[in-house]
Amino acid sequence: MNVFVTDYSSTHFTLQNIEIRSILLSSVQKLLIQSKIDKKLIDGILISTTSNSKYLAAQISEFLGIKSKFAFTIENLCSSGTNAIVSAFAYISSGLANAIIVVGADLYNPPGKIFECDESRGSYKHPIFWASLFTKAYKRKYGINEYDLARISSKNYNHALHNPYAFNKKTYTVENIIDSKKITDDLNILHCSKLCTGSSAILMMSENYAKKFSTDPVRIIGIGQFTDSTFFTKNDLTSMPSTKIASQNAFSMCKLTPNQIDVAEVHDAFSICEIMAIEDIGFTKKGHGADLSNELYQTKNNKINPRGGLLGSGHPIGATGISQTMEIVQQLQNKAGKRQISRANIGLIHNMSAAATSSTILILTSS
Amino acid sequence: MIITECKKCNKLVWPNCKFCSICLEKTRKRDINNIGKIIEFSKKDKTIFCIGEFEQIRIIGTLQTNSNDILPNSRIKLHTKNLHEQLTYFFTLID
Repeated sequence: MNVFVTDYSSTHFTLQNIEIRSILLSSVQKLLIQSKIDKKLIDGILISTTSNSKYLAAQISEFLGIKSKFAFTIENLCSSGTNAIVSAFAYISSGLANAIIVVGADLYNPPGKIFECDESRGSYKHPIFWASLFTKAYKRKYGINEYDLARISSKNYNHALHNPYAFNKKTYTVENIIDSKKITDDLNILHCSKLCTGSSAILMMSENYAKKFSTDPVRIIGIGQFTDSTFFTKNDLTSMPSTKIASQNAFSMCKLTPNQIDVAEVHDAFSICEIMAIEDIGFTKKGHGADLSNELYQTKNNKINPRGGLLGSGHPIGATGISQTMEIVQQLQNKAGKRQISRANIGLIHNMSAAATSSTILILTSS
Repeated sequence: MIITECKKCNKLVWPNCKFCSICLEKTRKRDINNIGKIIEFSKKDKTIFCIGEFEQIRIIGTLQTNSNDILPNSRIKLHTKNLHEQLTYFFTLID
C-alpha cells in the first residue's frame, strides 16, 4: 500500500526555553489547522524526541482533542525523526492506519546532546570530539583543506537565509568561517550545527485518504535504515558505513540511482559530515565530496541542503528528520519559494545518529 | 585496564559485556595489553585527544606528551585513572 506525506508545519528554531509539551502543541495545532483534517480521522500520533518527559504523545492527544488508536514516543538520538516516519509508514502500508501525525521536537539543551553510554569515548563524549577526529582523518586521507570545509558551512548558512524557520539569520563568507572561533585544531564553531529549540510535524496518509484529502501528496518510495554499532571508534573514520548501506537499501526499494535525485537534505551536523554523506549516498565517488560541494558553492546550486541543512537551520534533535522531510515535500510540491529547485521530482533525506553509527534514508517523489 | 574476552571463541568484547557479541557465550575478564598505537588525534587548546588501539580495542584518551612528532601508528602506552567516578584514559608515547 502506498504511503504519502500530505501536510506539514514547523515552529521557528530558536533558543527559547519552554516546555517540550508546549512546543509540540504549537506545531501540531498548526498542522491540524492547515490541513483541515477532521481530527476523528487521525489514527495515531508518533512523537520523536530525546526529551525525558513521559507519555508525551498521549498528552498532545488530550490537549488537542484527538482520540487516536495509538500515541507514543520514538527515540533514536538525532535520527529519531526519520525513525518515527518509517514507523508511521509501516503502520499505514500494513493497513493498520490511514492517517498519522508524526511530530518531532527538542529544546536547545536536550538530554540527547551527549551520548553518555559510549564507554569507548572515555572523557571525550561531546560530539565535537568525534567530528574533529573525522575531519582530521579525512583531511589526512584525501588532502582537503580548511577552504573546502568552510565552503560547505558558508553554502549552508547562506541557504538558510531563505528558510523562514531557520535559526541562522546571517550570511557568512568562507573567510568568516575560517576566522570563527577555534573549538579544536580541526573544527571551528561555524563548522558545528547549533542545538536549538524547535518542532516540526508532518501528516502521513494512505493512498485512499491522500486522494480524498490532498491535492498534491508526496509519496515515500524508498526507505533504508542501518545500525552498525553503538561505538563509532570501531569504524573507519572517513566514511559512514551505515549511510552507505541505508542508501543502497533505499535505492534498491525504489529502483532508482543517486543521479536521479533532484534535491537532498543531508545530515550536516558538522561540515565534514556533508562531504562524507554525499559520497556514501553515492552522489559522487569516495574522496570527491569536497569537489562536489565546491562546485555547488561556486555555481550557487542549492540542490544539497536547500533549507540550510543542520548547519543553517539549527538542530532541534527530535525535530530534525521531520524538518528535513518537510523541506523535501515542499520542494517536490513546488512550494519552496526562494529555495525552490526547478523541476524537482525526486528528493532524498539522510538522517543519522551518534557519529553515523546508524542512518536512515528516505526517497520521496511527487509523481 | 580490564576487558572481556569470550570463553569459547576468544573474541575481545568491548565495551565490556557478559556475553560474546559473536557466539553469545559467556565472557571472562582479563587485563588488556597496554601497549598499542595511535589511530588518529586532534587537539583542543593544549590537550591532545586521540583514538588509541590496544589489541583490537579502540578508545579515546588524552595523549600526554610535549613532542610535536605525533603520527598515526605511533606506539603508545595506556594508563587509566578514576576521575569523578568515571574511568579516564591517558596515553604516553613510547620511543
